[in-house]
Amino acid sequence: MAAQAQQDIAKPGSTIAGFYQRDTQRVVPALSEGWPAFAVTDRRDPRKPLMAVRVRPGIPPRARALDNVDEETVPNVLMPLADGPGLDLNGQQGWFIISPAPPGQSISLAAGPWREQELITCVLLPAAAALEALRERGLTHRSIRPDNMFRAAAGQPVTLGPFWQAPPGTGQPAVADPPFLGWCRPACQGDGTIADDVFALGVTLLALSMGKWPLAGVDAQEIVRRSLSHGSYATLTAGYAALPSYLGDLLRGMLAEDPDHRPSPALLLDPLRAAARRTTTRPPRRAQRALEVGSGTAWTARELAFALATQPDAAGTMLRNGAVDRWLRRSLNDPALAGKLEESYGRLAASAGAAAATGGGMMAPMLLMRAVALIDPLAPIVWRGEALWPDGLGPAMAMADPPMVAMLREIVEEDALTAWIGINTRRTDAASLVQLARDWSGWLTTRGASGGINRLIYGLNPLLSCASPLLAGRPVLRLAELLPALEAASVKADKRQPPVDGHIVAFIAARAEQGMKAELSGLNSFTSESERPLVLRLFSRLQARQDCGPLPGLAAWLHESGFTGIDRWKSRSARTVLGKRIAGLVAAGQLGPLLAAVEDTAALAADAAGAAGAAARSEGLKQRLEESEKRAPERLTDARRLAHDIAAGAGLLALMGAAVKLAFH
Amino acid sequence: MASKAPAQQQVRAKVGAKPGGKSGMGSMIWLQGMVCGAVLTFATPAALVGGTLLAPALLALVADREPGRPVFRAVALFGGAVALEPLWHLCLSGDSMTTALEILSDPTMLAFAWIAAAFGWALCEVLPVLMENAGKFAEAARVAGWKAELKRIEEEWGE
Repeated sequence: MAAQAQQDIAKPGSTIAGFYQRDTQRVVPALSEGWPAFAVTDRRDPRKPLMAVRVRPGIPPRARALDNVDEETVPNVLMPLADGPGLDLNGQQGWFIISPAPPGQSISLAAGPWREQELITCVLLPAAAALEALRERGLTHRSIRPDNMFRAAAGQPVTLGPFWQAPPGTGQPAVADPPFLGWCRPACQGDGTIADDVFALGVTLLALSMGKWPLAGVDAQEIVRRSLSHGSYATLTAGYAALPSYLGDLLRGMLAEDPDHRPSPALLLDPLRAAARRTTTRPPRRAQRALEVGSGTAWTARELAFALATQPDAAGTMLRNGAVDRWLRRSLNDPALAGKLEESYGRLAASAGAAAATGGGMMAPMLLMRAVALIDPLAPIVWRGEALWPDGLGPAMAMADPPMVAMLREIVEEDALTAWIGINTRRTDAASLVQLARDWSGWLTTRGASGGINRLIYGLNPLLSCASPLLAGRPVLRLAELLPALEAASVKADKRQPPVDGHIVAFIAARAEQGMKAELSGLNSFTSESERPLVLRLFSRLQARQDCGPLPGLAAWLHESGFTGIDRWKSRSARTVLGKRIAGLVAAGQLGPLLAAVEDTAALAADAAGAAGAAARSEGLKQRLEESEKRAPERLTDARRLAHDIAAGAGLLALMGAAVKLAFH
Repeated sequence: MASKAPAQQQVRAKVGAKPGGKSGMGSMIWLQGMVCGAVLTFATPAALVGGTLLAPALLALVADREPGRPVFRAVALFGGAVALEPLWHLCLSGDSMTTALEILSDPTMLAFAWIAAAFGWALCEVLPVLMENAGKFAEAARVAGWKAELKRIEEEWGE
């Protein structure tokens, strides 16, 4: 099926994922962020209005969402139905995700403020139902905003738009995220929780009620700072006196800082109960005097954590010279927190040794990360001024520039995640995160092409397209598409170059099930003699496992770039025979028999023994020829002496004959 | 062996010895001369017959300078084979000068003895040539076989 799909790419009017064909009669409503999409029909049921959304190159779609492809049980949300390679409207190759088409245009803030009742019935209730269904599946939406909500007509319930074609939070305005997500870049935010969707739904309700985004035009970091200082609800509703009281009660819960204090989607299905729900939160302890951290100012512990995170240089100095401890102890009157911070610093200094006491090396970012996590348990991991959640590391690495990748790599190398979990007592998934950190470290430290940074990136992003230039731009998100894509690329490929590189090996290592370690672990530069049979074995096993069908192009590519190892055979006649046999197998495109032909160990051993025997015999013959030339004069002398001896012998015989004749005469 | 022969030649050049001779052989020559003189004195007829019939051998003894004097050996043996019967006859007849002159007056006998000696000499000249060429041919055949085998190996197992 995968092979068929890749072959289909080359043909105009081809299908996506085997069943979905472009529908030129229908037009799909514009998606949020201008995401490219076009209408398709299902060959099996042409009446269904469907669309194909193109995955942007280098941006990994959400794997967990694409694994949930059953639209029936998720109401009011456009769920993915299938995905696969295809051609866009311009004939460009791409990876497409099929989903139901939006029922109508997206809702717009420009249409003016919405009435409270309409907000509840048309937005809150359908969205809450969708979120509850997503929660049951272990999914989050993370793209809840007005331009990603669609409805057929005024008065109709909204449908949540696509959320699976890009990492969570992509395109989401900073105001729609809770502050602990908002201080991370979108790619670093991770999946979040369903409570974060409840927050985004609350902000959407507020924006629709206001007819505009709250805090429009305010810088994202400033929004986060204000939200942390005054609370999100107070910050977002500041100056909006016309907020209906019922909606205000709902939003107070939905926009709570602590995710545990926000109502669940199930509770939101009963808005009256949700509005009546009250959570008592202790107001944050405020210091008698502010602490200046670089250009930031902190009055509370939460503000201090944010200021330290965003001003890493100043924060490092202040943490080391004890200014933060003193402020916590004397101004904020929180000696317990100051004690924890001192203890953490002491432990870190002890573990890092005397050199670290100066604050050099890796101690400064680790110290800052631990300090922020201690001061605000809701804060994300903070490393060198960047904030991220553990499950945001994958998309962040996939979409980052090289310096950012180096910084993110440092987080894995220094095992910052384990250190963060050790401090963050709110996480209930600590054990699985520790295991995750071990996996990351293992991937990074694995030697050869199957390890390192590429392995880490593909491992963290289960649907990141393979970035190998050998694929010539063909999108390969799943392992099943790899060999068909290489087969298609083989037509125009430079066959002197190997059909494998670091990206492909790392991609296979990340996507393949267990059982290929032996082949993968031996691969490094792809040029050594020992690696060549491994590559052929790897591809032949993939072909067998993925059932890709014949791959004559790839087989020829492997053969011409020397991976069949015909030059390992010493016997010329054996090479000739094998060459003819390989030519037949290459044309058939079956890598397994090709491998069996070139990996005949008994015949190879016999060939090597024959070669050794021939070399020894050749050496012996050359010595004999040399000796023959040297001994030519000696041989002449011997022949002459022998001739004289024969003559003397003949004379002696004649003399004896004469003597005998005389004796008997 | 190859380095020994020139060394011997240098020693000979220094002491003024003739090639083919050996150091300490001077007394041997004197002894041989004395024996010859004794034979000439006390068995003059036999010495006359033997010296005449074996004259080619005496000539070869002087002319042959090759180590071991192979030509002399062959000429002497073949000549001796013919000279044995008349010498035996002379001994049986009491070693008289008359019998000796009778024998020597028979041209057939003289010709036969000298032809035998010539045959010995010819054998020494022809046989080495034949043997050398036969050896060359045999070696060339062997070398050709080895070269053909080398070529086959190169064709099958060469790079």
